[in-house]
Amino acid sequence: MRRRLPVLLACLAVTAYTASRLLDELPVLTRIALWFVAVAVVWDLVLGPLLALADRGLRPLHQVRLRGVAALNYVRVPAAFSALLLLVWAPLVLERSASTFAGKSGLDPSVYLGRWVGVTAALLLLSAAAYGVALLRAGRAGR
Amino acid sequence: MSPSADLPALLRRTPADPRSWRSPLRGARLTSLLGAVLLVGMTVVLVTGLLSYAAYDPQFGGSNDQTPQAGLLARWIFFDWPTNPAWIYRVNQGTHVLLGIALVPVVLFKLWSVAPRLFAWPPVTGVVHAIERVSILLLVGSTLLLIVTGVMNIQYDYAWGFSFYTGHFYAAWVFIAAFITHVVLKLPTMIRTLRSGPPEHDELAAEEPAEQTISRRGALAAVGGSSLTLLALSLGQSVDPLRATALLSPRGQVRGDGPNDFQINTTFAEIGVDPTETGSSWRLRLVGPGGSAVLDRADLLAMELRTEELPIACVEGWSTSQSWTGVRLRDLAALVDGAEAASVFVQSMQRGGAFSTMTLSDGQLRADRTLLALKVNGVDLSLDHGFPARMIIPGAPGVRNTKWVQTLTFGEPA
Repeated sequence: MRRRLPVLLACLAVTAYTASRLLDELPVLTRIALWFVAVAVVWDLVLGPLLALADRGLRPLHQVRLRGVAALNYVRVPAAFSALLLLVWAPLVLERSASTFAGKSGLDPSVYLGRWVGVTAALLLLSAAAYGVALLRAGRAGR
Repeated sequence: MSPSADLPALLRRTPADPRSWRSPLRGARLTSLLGAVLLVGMTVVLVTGLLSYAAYDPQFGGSNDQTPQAGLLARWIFFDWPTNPAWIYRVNQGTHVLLGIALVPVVLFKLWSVAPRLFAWPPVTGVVHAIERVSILLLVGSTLLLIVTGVMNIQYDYAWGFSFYTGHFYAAWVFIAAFITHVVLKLPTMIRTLRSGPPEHDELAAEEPAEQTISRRGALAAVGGSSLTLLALSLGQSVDPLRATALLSPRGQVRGDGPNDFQINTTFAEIGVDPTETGSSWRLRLVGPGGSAVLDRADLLAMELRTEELPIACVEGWSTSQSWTGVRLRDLAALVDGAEAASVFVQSMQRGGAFSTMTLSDGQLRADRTLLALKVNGVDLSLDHGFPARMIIPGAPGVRNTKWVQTLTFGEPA
């Protein structure tokens, strides 16, 4: 594709200009660049593989079957939802910035761990109910 | 020929070996579907983000401009932020933050869908390919950095060692460049795949797929469901009657049912306002082309008062609408011949924070509904909401509505 090179060079040029705006504040530029690379590396080489590994750890549940319905996805999906909620709201749930949060909002920073646990419990319950429905259906179909 | 055939023996069964990627879900179709969702979704997040930047009216400098080094990157703002409709920033920023959060699982699943490419062997096949890989690093790094800084900022977790505004703004420009590049290079493939199916040799599909444990449709439903779950647990921070449903959101706690029990951005104690200075000794100072004037709270309450239902809409995405009572800003301007001023400089009593002063545009000065508010919902403002007096500007970001106002300086006519 002939237009590839010009487009790529334009991308590099805009990036170079953007970075050059911060040359006067080299420590800031350095920190941003470090975070820039770190988030990509942490996701691609650490967090992503760890989550994939955890998912593989659940794999034996694919063989756990009642009436032929595998239990795997009824554990995997609520677990993934819960992990995602924790990933997004970790600073609140883990109270990483409790005093700033309280000072800024005037709200109670200690409620979020309980809320996350509660939401996780609700997701697991919902999933268990869905599994129950699937079992009933499978039973009816088998009769 | 399978790509794993010419792999060095040393790399067999490492991530560089295509055979080590076994999920039967991966393939051009999945990646194209996720790409289509992100093409639309990220474009909306990007545009609302740029508009939010413009909403601070950075062209006035000072506290308005949190990235004074921006150069050409801010030179596109040729307009003052509008005051009508009053909900414009509320909708803009609610969309930016809520959609940005809801897209997190889509972004992560998209990265998962193309993960084998990251480790593909050989890593580089030529100069153009090398530059393309750099552009992908720019895209992934900027996307993740925007998500991380945005998500941490709304939870007040400032662990980066740089200002949120600086990091989010410059990462956004790298994202703009890399995102457009990626769209230009990949859009034809995406459209072809969605129209006529994956190519005969699908590089993303597993060579030796494992047993299927979830259907592609099931996986997509789970990703969409997780987006909706994130959304459902946050939406209430921007919709007053749903506040209590925002279980996982920084502004999902109901404060009470009193007239001042709505969400606060920064408490007076946090920002360094001395309560003794807000009592009967407080005076509002007006400075304009016609001289200066000093008013106490009783003088202000004796002026013509207006009551307006207007939102407070924070850059962090949460918002609330309240009924404010106060004096029109342009009526105050008239007292010092400042009604034709080109801008207004607002100074707060607050000691700390990056926003103790603000410059308002002439449009904001002359807008019918711009108030120096003294009361809210029929009672005096609470100290946390800016007593003795605060600005309320229709359509503007929350931070523009300076609290604990002390001095208003009306500039020369344009």
